[in-house]
Amino acid sequence: MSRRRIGALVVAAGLAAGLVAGCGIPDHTDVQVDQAGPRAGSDQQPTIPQPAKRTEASTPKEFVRNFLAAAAGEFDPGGPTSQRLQDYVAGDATRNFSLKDEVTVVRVGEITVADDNVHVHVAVDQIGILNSAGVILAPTSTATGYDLQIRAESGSGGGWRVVKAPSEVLLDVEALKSYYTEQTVYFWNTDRTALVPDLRWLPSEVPLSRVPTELLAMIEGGPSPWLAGVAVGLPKDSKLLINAPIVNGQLTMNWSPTAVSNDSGGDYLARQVAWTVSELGTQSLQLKINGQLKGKYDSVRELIDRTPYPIAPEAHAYAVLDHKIGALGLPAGTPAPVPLTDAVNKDVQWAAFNRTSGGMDAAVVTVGPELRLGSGVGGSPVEALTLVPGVKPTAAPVWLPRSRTGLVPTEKGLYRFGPDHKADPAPIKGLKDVTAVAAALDGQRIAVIANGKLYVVPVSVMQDGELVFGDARLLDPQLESVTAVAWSGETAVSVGGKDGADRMSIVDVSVDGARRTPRIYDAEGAISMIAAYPEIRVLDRSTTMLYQAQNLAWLAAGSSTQIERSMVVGAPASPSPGPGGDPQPIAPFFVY
Amino acid sequence: MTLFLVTIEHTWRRSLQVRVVTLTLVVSSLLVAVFAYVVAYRSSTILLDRAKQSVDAQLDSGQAFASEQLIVFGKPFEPNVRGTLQDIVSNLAGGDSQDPSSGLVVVRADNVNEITAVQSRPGDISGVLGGDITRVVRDGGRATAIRSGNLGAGQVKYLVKGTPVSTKFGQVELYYIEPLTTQDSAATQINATVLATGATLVLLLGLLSALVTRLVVRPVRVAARTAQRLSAGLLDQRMVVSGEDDLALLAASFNQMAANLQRQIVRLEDMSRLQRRFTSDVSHELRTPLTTVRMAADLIFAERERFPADVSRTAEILQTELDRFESLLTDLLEISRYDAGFAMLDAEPTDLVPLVHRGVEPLRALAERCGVELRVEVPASPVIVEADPRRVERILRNLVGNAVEHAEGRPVVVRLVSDGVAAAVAVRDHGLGLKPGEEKLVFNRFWRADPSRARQTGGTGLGLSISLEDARLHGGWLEAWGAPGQGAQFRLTLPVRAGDRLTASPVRLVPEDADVPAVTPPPQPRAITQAPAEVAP
Repeated sequence: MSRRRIGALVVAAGLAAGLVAGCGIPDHTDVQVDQAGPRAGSDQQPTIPQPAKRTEASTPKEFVRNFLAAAAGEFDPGGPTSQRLQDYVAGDATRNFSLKDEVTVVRVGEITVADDNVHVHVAVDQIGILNSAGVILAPTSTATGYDLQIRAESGSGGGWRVVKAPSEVLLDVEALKSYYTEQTVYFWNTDRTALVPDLRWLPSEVPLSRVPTELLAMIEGGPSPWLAGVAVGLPKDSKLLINAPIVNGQLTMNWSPTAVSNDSGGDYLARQVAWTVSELGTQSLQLKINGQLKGKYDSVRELIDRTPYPIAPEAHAYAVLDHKIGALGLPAGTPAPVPLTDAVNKDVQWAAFNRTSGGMDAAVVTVGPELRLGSGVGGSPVEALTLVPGVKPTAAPVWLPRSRTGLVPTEKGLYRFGPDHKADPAPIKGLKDVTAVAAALDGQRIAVIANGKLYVVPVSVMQDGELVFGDARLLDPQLESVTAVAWSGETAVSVGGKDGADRMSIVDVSVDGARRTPRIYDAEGAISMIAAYPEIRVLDRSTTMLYQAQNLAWLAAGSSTQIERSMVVGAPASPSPGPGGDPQPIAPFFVY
Repeated sequence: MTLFLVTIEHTWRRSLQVRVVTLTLVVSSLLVAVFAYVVAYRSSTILLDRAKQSVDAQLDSGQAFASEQLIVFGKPFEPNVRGTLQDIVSNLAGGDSQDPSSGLVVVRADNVNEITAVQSRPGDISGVLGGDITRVVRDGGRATAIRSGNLGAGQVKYLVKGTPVSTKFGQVELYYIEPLTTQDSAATQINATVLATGATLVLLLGLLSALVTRLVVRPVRVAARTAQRLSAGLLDQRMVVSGEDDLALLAASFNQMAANLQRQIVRLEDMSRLQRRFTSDVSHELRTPLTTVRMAADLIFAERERFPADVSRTAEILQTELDRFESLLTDLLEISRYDAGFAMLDAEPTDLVPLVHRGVEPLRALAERCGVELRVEVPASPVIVEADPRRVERILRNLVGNAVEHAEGRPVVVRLVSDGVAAAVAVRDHGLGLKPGEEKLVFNRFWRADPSRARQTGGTGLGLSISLEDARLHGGWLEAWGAPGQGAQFRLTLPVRAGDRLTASPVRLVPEDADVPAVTPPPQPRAITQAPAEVAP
């Protein structure tokens, strides 16, 4: 009896003590498989062409040409580009030869291989220096040629290797065109009234899914150095924290708090990004700060439309006929009314109009030549023009969009004029003999032809209408003479002149000079002026270009088409047919 | 040990309180243990489930996040893949990811050669994130396990969860290693609390049961002690009545009962004393006139020959009846001495052999008159017994007289046997014998087997009663056996040393020549000797 009870007592005590060991969080459990996870996806990207490998060349010349393209690709120490490039060199050349954060972009001319098949001379034109941000900086070297030494390899696949190479990594500009894509990154101007397009080069091998991240990284890095005075990047120490993927059309980006420190709500950042990534199939945006949702923008299009950009959906083209401005029915759209009343629409040689918030500013160069300025209120045409004394324009005036300031080349150099109907000299440092000027739509960049050379210059308009020019950047359109210029796109100018084959051509040149695309080469005479409705891909606008050559206006669309007198709306019959027939429209221009 | 167990067993059997307390302890321990187990098990399960759910949610968002981040890469060797993995783990690990007590986020890509594992803070985690888990996740499953290891904050339990994350360049694996420190300590605290509470509860229950039992048992013990004292003769013992509860009722009833008993006993004692006094007084008072009557009767008896024959005959009858009356009076006095408790044993070492002869000899005349052969069988050596020879002789005379009287002319055998411890005298006759049940009645006062039977010896009817008292005074036994037609045997057993307790008799009560196979000797001879002596009214 007693023993049984004692036994039960022992069991009870044991049970109670067993609690401590039996309960609680276990030390170790079996692996529990909850569910099958998602299967790995596969990369559906189409194959991207890659620069040739070392062993793909069959001649030394081809090998050298391949070598000059081998650096095309992402800057990634130890990555595929570096490996490919390193495979090209051997011996002494390897010592100080590596892909760091920049390559020297050159236009490769003649490649001369000596008879010994060792010494090679490469003739080049300097284009610039491509850095890791995709910017081509102005060239620092003036070298016109490089000497290489190569040697034939017997082992490891044969072919050749470079045993002596210049210290800088060279990249043929043709390879740049083949293995990179142009991207436009937008930065706000200093007073945040306009977005300034900034041209970047992105390796094609970057998969589409990573392009947004790369573009945002470029935004993070700030504008190109040459735009530093007119465009501002994000506040210092702003950081894109993680990748920015596009999922179901929505781009999600995660920034450090400083990115929106002077941008309540992140609206400016969102608009900047919207413009930058709109071509990547982004429909909506999500802005996160430190991982916390800061803003959600359901429509990228709405963000884009909300950004002031002084361009109408349609190109309103005008030309001067019988010293009067007339609207052109060509090339597209309905003709707009002439923004000058008939009373003042006379003796016109060149004209430029600028939409302002209150109406329309007019700058008309009348026969003399004399510069006359006037303003219209609201939608009404300008009724009066005031003569600006002491200014003798030598070319068409331009207005800097969004400002009430214009520029005109004169006999005494470049002059600026404003709503006060006065004109002052506006010299650009280092440039003389300005013969043509064109303003980009953002109003922060101008292209000028000075001393027969093409330059792009950043410009800021101060509160009082004063202009501050940045450093002029020389571009080489590879034309023997340069006579007219216009902005054909956000990051490209069209320039007219005589090309190497003595043809009168218009070529498009990117603002860094790396890309040169012929537009027409059938002009029948010297191109005296170009007017362009620029291409804006974000807004789906393409270029319309008119030019004047041989006192005739032409439409440049693949080939040149003359603008006939009949194309001018309400063109009167010729009052006094001259010896060369009826006077034809000249001095075409666009009102945006 | 054995002594200990025996002590425990003894205590167990003796103490109701110990039994109740022990049973309460055992049962409450069992109940509390079961309850505590359920509580502790449930609480730790809930804690663990919470942790799992939380990590699950983290893992889901982490998986979505990592997938979103890595989807931008098409090839594992693209620049910044590793940087992105670092970003992912530091983002998912949160702000205090470098704290050694915090958890870890690990990204591995076991199927992608170009990518090495990235973790949110450095350290060897192979002990926690073992191959058994990574294998499951590598094969596309979602794994959960608990592992213990030292990841910088001592030996800690970790909840390890892993999930595959699909990317364009293959599968990577995302792991969360979350410390279960909080849950573990909470579970331990709950366990400790439950155990402490349970132990306290059991102890309190034990104490409570001890108190309650004590409340009940103490009055019972008091009642038992009081009853013991009452039974020992202390009739004025009473219990203390306090309060109005059941126990007070018990005490009151007990006291009531004791009072009633006391009253009855006192009344009976008084009556008994009165009766004995009466008997004694009557005997004494009768003796004086009897002496006078005796003297007169003796005178008449001496002169009877001078009287006519019928008067002479009357004088003889008077003489005989006076003898009987005198001996009856003597017996009554004797027995009233016993009743009054005045009988004293005058023990001395006595040889029973001459004593037996002395007891038998006076009856030989009677035996011859009745034609009964009287045989005495005694040992050759003396049988020394510490006894009162006068009383023993009186017993023997009585027994032999009865035997001769009922012998029906057949022999009577008197046998003395001793075994050194006890001595026994058996008196055997072969007369009518005793009917079943009469062997107890024969010792009653004034009892006769056949009331109509004529008296030959003029017995008083008190002889066997007195003999029984004599034997009892010696600490001995006096028993009877008899069967119809087989006669009877009376056996007197005396201890050799006065005061010794008898355990057996040297002579069998049922004689060897008795033909009673079915009859067995009574197992408790004491039952006869200790039968209460009826006090004749």
